[in-house]
Amino acid sequence: MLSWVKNREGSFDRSVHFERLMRDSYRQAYSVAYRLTGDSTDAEDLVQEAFVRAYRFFHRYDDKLPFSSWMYRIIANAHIDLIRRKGKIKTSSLDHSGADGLQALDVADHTNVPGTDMVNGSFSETVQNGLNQMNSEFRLAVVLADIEGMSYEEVAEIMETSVGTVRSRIHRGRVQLRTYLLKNAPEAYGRYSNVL
Amino acid sequence: MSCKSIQSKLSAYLDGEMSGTDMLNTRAHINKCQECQLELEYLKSIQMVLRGMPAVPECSDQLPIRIIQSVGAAKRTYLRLGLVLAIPTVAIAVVTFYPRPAVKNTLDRDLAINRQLASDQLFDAGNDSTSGASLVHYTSYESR
Repeated sequence: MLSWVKNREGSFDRSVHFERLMRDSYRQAYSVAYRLTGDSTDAEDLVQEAFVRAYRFFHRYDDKLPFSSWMYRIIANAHIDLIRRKGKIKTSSLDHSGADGLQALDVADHTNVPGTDMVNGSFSETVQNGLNQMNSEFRLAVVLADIEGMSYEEVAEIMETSVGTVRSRIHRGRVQLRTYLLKNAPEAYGRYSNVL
Repeated sequence: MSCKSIQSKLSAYLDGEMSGTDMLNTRAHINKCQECQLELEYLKSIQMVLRGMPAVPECSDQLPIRIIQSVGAAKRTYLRLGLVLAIPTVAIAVVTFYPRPAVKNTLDRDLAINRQLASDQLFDAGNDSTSGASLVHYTSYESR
């Protein structure tokens, strides 16, 4: 009986602890999820799914690692599962991007109406579309490093891979995005570069 | 080092994610190679584009509530699933390991009687006092 009471208390503490961590981190989690999905509804669904998984495996969480980093890892895996389920994988570094993974997909950006890419909002959408077209692993590495400002080591920890692999993914992701922008928004992109 | 090799490392160079020696070698190459300088400028521009991305739109105020509700629903599902799995497991364990009372079945009883009969037969066996032949009085279950 005593052990049952103890278990009940343990379960209660666990739930309270989890809820506190969730409330502290859900905005950051949503931000990364938005960059990965490019859509607020999809991002909220992804965050929700990721927190359900996180609760299920909360006993495995090592509190030496920041909770948000652990959540990014879960979000990344949940996102890959989600796009697999939806059959939405439109990019693959081998099938669609050339053997070296450096060429962006030859997919037209239909949201980019000619002449409107000088408007900053529209250009951001184009950049987001460029991210969406990227191989999911390249995208995650680029989002974490360039938008979330993480070091390669932190990205490697989240992606459970080596720093060398992260270095390669970030580089290839940036090159893919550059090719995409040159194709779909050359004028707006030119404002960011003194070589165009 | 070749331009191809240098260019594959330019992102790491730009981010300062290289060892000191690699940084110096890469910088020395870039200073004298126009093609790699151009490539570096492209990468810088992509970095600026990404860093200049506007903040993501605010998420719904309801998001934490939705998360708590979905975690709660998942907990109940796990609990139900646990019960669904636990009940048959316990039932099988009870059936398998429950100590049964010692039941005297007919086979046990017959064996005991047969042993007693054999013992009686031995008791009755002996030699006929007249002829001297061996004599066994067979007893049977019915006669007892």
